[in-house]
Amino acid sequence: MVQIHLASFLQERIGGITSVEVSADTVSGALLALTDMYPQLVRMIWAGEQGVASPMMAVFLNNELVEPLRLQASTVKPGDRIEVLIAVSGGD
Amino acid sequence: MRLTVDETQNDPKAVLYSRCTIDLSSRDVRFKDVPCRNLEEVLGGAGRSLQLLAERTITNAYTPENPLIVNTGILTGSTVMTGLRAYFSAYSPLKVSNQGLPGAMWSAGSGKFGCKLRWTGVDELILEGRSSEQVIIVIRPGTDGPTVEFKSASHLLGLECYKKILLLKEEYPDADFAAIGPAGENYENCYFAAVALSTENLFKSGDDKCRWAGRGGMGSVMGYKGVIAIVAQAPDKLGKLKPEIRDINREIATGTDSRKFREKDKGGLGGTWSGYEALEPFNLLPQNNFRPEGDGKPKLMSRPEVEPQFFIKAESCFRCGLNCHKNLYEKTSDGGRGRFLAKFDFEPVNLLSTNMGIHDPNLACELIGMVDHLGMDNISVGTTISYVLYYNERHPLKRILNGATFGEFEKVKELIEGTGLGRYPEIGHGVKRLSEQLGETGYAMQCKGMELAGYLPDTNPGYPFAIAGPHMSMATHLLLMAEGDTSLEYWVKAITQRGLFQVRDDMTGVCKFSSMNPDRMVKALKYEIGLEITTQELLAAVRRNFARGLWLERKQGFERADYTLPSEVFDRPNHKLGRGPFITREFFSSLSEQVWSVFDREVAEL
Repeated sequence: MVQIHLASFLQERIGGITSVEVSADTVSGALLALTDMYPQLVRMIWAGEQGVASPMMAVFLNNELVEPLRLQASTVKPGDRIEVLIAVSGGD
Repeated sequence: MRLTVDETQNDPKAVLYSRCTIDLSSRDVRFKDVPCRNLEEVLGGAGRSLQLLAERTITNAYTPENPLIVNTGILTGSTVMTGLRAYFSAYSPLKVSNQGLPGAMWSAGSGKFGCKLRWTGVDELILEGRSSEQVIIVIRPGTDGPTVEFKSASHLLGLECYKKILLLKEEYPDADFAAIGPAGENYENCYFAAVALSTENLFKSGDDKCRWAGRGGMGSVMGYKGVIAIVAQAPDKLGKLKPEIRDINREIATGTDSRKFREKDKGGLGGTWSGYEALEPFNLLPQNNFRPEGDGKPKLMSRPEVEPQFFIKAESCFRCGLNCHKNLYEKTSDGGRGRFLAKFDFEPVNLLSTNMGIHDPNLACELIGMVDHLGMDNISVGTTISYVLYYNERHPLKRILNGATFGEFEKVKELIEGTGLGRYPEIGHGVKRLSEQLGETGYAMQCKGMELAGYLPDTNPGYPFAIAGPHMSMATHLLLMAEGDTSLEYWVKAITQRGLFQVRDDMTGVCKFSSMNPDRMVKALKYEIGLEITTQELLAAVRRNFARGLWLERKQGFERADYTLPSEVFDRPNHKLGRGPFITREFFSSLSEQVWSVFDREVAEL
């Protein structure tokens, strides 16, 4: 299983859940599993069609930023950690 | 702040805030431990000050009866990371209803001043009246409680904020400071002066590395009252770090949310400034007075473009692991760190360069530095000047002030300097007043007299409902970018069910960048303070405080017509935007009806 950790911005949309475990072979597959579980995240994570990540989101795999176009090519193995956050911040 | 009775009760009256009230006119000083009336007061900050302001009838911000409230949140000075906030609240000279009455306002800043104030034994300082001479207020702990001393500020007058603070540091080596700059001294002609708060990085380096309570002209109110600086002189009194708080701190510093602020080589996105990389491809960065051209020029100020020319060092406030300050230095010939130039955050970079048609990071450094030195809110001064530039571009035969238009760096610099020194009240009184004088309000980027920050009004119908600055107290400014939803139902919920909760951290004493979810905040309150409340109780208190802010606006004459966007959003939609435009008059009218149907009820229930 792969762990997906969500930033607070996404947690708010799914009742405060901070992380989920999914079974997947790629980062893209893991995120698809996530949005299958929580369809309310689809708009935030995918840019129009599923499989293409929203450029407003940042995805990290084991501490490394995964470029949006590399989600499908980035393989994952059990125990990997994916983190998803919005790529824009500000307001201080 | 202290709990009475025992450490596990949650009766607000058992929580006492130590208040110091100073009548500047008579120099009478009173101390009192004040029991809290409700959970909002327990949480502190704006949760306290809005209730205090509600008790006053103020028709002009510059009257002795308008108090300046300087207070802390419940976690200020605690071991919870980012628990550093000091809050400055008053009726604002800038925020104004269409009837001309001043709006209640607060502004928050980090640095170390808030901690030190608390460590003197004072949680809340209320400045009443007005001093006949310009003074420094020195607060210290004493054997029988805190003491207050007044000192002449004559040797500080005219100095830039950070120079005032560095001079004071020589005199009070174990103190931290809140100070105003020349803009605050020129309060009559500058309504958006900020309060500078000292930091350890400022003391270590001697560079202008203040933090700021910038919004709403709290520095102007301080200047009106004749208070040039507040000195909080006390030894550090950090408590012992508990294991539960250590875990919370670790999450703040290294959790998923903190990646936004971390450096790229440390698994981060590079700070708030990285918003340029996300927003620029969609033409969503304010350019030339919030009117993106789609010409690619904003990209020139993005971090990948700027970084090769400078040495960038990520720094932080006291004991904070976020390292969100992206400080630019000259790069020496061997690639090392040279002279400090400026701190690059999203708002100042955008509003003092791209939004003025300036696309050179060296010039941006100069303008950001100047605004900080003079002690102004970079959002208000930047947005007001961008209006001037746009006006002059539209009226080549009747230009105002020095005639500056977009991209004219030297003229812009002269406008900034002149505003801070009180030579340009036209700018210093804010864009709402200026645009009304000129009869062209449609492209004045403000809501309720508060200038817009670095996010387009075309993307955020939530702006008018913010109660303390259009993006700091209504977290809807990133939603269109993140979710792309333009439905009415979505935006009603975004404003009434999500956005308003941003004011929580303007109560509790932590920085918004801590990104603590409600459950974690409840845990922090339990283990750090001994306050046991539920998440629902916390959220209800925040909601009541937001409703109180709306009630206060109503009291000051804000009516439905005050809650609107710049009319250019409706009348001249910018089709170059990658998302939107979607806010028509009909949309906004329907949105308002539905938002008020929720908020009216909550205001009535207070």
